Amino acid sequence: MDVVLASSSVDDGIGCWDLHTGAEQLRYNSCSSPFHGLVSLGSRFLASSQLHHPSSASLFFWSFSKPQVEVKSFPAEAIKPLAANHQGTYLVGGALSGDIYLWEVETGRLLKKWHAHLRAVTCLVFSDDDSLLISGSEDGYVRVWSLFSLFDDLRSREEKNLYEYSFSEHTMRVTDVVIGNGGCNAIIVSASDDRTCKVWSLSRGTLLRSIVFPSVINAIVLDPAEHVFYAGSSDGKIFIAALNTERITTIDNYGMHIIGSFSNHSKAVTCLAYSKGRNLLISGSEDGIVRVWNAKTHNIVRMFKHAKGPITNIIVVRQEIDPSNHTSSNLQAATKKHGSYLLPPLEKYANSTDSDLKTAINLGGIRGCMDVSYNSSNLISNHIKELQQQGSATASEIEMEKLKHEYQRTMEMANQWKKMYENLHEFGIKELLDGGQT
Amino acid sequence: MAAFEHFKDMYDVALKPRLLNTIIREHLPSADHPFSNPSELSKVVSLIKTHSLLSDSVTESLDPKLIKSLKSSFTSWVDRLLLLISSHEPDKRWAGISLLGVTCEECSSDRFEESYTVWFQKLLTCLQSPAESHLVRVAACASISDLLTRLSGFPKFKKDGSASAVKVVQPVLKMLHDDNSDAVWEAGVHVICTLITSFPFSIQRHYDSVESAIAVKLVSGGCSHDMMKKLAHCLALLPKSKGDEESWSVMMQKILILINDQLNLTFQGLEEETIRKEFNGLLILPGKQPPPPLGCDVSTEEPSTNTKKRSKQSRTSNVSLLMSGCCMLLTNTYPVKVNVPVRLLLVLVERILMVNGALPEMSLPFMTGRQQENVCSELPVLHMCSLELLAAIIKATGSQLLPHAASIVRFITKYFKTCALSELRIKIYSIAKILLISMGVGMALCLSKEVVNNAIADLSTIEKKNGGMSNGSNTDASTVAPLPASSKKRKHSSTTGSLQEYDAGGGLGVEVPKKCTVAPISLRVAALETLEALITVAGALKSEQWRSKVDSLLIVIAMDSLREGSSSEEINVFQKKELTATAADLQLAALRALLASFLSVPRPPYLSQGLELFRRGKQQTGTKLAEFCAHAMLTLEVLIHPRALPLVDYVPPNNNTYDEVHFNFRDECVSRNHTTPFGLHQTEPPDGVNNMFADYLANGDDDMGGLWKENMKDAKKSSEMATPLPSSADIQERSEMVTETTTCADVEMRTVENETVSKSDNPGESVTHFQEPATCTTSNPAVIDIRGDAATITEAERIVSDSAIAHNEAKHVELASQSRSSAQSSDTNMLQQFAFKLDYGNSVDDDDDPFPDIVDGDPDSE
Repeated sequence: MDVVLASSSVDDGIGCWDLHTGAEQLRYNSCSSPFHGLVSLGSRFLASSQLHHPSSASLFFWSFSKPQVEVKSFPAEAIKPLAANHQGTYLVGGALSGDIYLWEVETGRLLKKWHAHLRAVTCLVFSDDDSLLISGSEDGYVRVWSLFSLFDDLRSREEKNLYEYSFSEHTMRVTDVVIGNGGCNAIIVSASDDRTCKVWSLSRGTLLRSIVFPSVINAIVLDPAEHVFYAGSSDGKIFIAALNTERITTIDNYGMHIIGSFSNHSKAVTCLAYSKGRNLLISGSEDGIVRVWNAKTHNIVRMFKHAKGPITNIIVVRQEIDPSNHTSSNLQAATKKHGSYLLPPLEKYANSTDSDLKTAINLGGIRGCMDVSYNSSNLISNHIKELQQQGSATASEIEMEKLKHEYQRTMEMANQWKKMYENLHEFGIKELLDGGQT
Repeated sequence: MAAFEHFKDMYDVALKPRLLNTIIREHLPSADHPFSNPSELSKVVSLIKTHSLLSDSVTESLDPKLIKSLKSSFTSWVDRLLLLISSHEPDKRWAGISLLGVTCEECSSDRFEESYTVWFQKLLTCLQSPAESHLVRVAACASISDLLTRLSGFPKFKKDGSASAVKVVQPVLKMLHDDNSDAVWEAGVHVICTLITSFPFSIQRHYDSVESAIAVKLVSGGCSHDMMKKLAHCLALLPKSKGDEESWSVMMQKILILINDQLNLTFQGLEEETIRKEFNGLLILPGKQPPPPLGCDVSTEEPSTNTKKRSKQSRTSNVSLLMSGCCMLLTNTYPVKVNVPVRLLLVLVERILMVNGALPEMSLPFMTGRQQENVCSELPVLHMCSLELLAAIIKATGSQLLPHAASIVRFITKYFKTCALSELRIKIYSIAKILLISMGVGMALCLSKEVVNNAIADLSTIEKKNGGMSNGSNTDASTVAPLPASSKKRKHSSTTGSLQEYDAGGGLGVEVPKKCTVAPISLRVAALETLEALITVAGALKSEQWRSKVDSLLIVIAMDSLREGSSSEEINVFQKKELTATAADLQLAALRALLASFLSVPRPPYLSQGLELFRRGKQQTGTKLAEFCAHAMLTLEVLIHPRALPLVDYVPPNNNTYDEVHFNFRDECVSRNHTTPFGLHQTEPPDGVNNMFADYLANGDDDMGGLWKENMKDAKKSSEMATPLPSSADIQERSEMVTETTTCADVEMRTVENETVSKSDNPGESVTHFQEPATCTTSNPAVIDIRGDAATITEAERIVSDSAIAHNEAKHVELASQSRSSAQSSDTNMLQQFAFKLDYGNSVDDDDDPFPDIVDGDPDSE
């Protein structure tokens, strides 16, 4: 079941709708998130950074089955954008100071914190193999980080810059960054307040294409095949920009590489998401409405009214068909056994190395089926082989058993004969004696 | 029975009861006939399995008469088996028990449900009776475990099954205790494993006794290596029966403590104190009670005395078994999350890998040569299992390895340099491969150098066989010389186009250290596979240093391996030892790596040779190679006919007005250290531009020319679209556009300049690009879209001002570095020319226009 989750900057909780039926699911309470501040952690938990505590920074966790906030954590400074790797083992957050924090979700440990940008971090995204992190900042920089190198303390001490690439061509705040498929040949697309979207090559670290839009682009999302990308602009339009189309035909008079636009928004488009399973484009707007578009025809398929304030985040999550039955039964079993199954709150500061001795790991216990193997037919053939081998231990053992058995039978026979003989003997003597007497 | 009662064909159900009856009559021993030939049984089993004689499912559609006969034949089969089991002769009992096991596996669910309790009782009595022969006991164990396995598939009998399973544990334990023969142990351990996986609750009450029984046997040794493996496996499964986090951790810790004890003895005087202390510190955390030693407390005394008695050889083999137990703990599934002591395990691996048998100075007087010899003879085995443990850790932790990944890479690279045994090298290659695939790009950036150097060293034997090299400069196999990136060689490599040349030249300029021995095929396969993984993960990312070397190496290897394949006898002569990897494997690995290298770059240098190889490989009908080559051809087709326009079209923005304005803005925004003011030099211009430019100049009147014409139309069209204004504004607009075009041109010229400068540094690349000037359908994505701009600019300049071309490059650089004013000064002139150009475009006008706009108008500049 694909569900779409939306959160807003005003405190309206997180709305959740089934994409297929349009039915509203659970509404998760009390959430007012900034842009890029809502992520799902491996489709088990939701995490969101919070706006409404201006003094104390806060981060909330929900489990998918409960509307209440499960865990509240209070990091050392205000965190706005969040990102999680696909498995949901790590959570990264970008701070106002330009620092990036990396937590291990399972233990809540703050594994790493580094100074990434001079100004606040605005968006964060993991590459499709989870080994790279791409960050955008208010200072206009887009930077690519290798998580692996960040953890390599020796190397990071040697090298001046921690990042793999630093793209500086944007002149104003970066509003959104996405990365496509293709491992090291992937492309990165970034949008900025300077009214451009720029396409970067990850492998070469160069700018491939810069597309100028008539208005500021707030959100971008890639078409799964990467023929085009969709850009939600602040004038309410969703532009289609060419990446790898076979023919570029400029329909509207917008400029290079923009091959079309569609709109039903009176207000600015604030966020976009793509449902790969159903080929739907989902947009959130400043008027608090989530619109679902057919990506081919650009018609509105559904509309969800979420909030009064602007929608800040939309994510599409694939849930199990019956969440109350399958996964949670396992979870419940675990919960019964080992107390509550809750995530620990995230740590404020990196602790000493003492706690990184153990890593909680799921050894694939939920994998249901196991290979059934039967043994006896193999055993038969093995034994037959052994039996046929003259003089092998098994054969002689069986032979011995047989002989024992034979021996027993012969002994019995002998005893029988003996007894018979004795009887006869007795009989004979008796006869003799009797004869003598008479 | 009617003799002429026929049935339809071999799929007719009617065949089944008849066949079964015949088997019962003719092939099974009976109570009063002696059991002459046990090999009959194998025929029975195979008949039952192929015709599934026992597993018919009765459906409504069947003739009731047939159903009856099916039922009766099955009943008589089971009756006969039960009769055999209760016979007095051991071989008949054995046959009955074994066949009952097969029946448990094969019979239909209904029948199993009906009668499993009876069967279970029968088998259990066989297991319990003390006077049974080994053969019968083993068969009983196997059959009972099959019965339980089958039973675990029925959820409704879960309770019943557990109740039955509990009854099995005691007799099996008793049997293990009384009997010491391998066969019985194997069967017993198998039953226990089945119990743990199928009915974990049954074993819970006997957890400790099972643990101690297995541990005692494992520690005392004295059975075959296979048996020991099974014991370790069973020990690793054991925590599953409890299924909680605690028992997993305790088991792991117990095993590690045992390993530690034995390593302390073995490595005495051979290792550094620091790492031993680190390991001990992590093993038993301060303030925590160590768990009781492996095996029950009762039997503690016995194994420890055993340990002392045993020789050193068995001790190290024990360590390796215990470590394989650790591996299994890590790789087996487990119902709940567990706390894996990753750090501790990594220290253990490192601790073992760091010992290479060399004696430190200070312990020289304490160790005899004999002792050292003993340790060294066992070290490869130890290294092997610690590498296996490492692989298991990586596999188990997955993405959570991240905090430890750096330390792993560090000691892997260290170990890679010293490791010389091919078995170990193969293992470490496979670990590198796992790391690359699982950790992705970030890992590849770190590991690439080491992998490439080692792979080249291991694959370099080809060089020698080509005969081009003398044996003069043999280096040791273990030492890996750094690869000199000689520009001369590179140039050579890029100009080499054909097989012949390669043959004569003795390799495509791959400078590799020579070795006197040929690396075993399996090692070469491992090296190739790792290279493939590296290229797959990060073939295009920061790979300039090794890319060309690897590309040329791979094509050489691939060519060579295909040739090797033709003379396989020769291979067999000197590769006698190798049973696992053959020349065919090498071919496959080489071509796989080659395909990866083709696919990861936009413009593979050896594509034509490669295609030829794949074509040849495809002709080897019926082999894996042919399958793969067919796949490769399909994949490469997309490379040859790209289905979409490439993405690269960017000309760095050097419109001065634009940059100046925004640079000021940026200065206000944040102050930061620019390496260059406009960020222009930071980003390399796409390298296709200049080549295209050159190509265009070289042959201006081929299809490029046509393209250009179309582009001209575009230019016109776009300018028309962009300028629907009255003439005064029109001129203003146009002048701006011209400004941009001129500056673009400047950039073009400047990058040409850059190129010529850089050519001396890096000639291989540029030569490669110029290599095929005639083919304009290049697969470099850098080229095609650029072409539009480049062509226009050139033409504009040509038409406009000959001076532009006449200018030497230095002047252009100067021009480019000038500010906007200079561009403006030439505006008027340019404007006229541009207008002319537009007219020109007009005259050749056409209506439909498939090509994109090419003038990158910049509405953002104001």
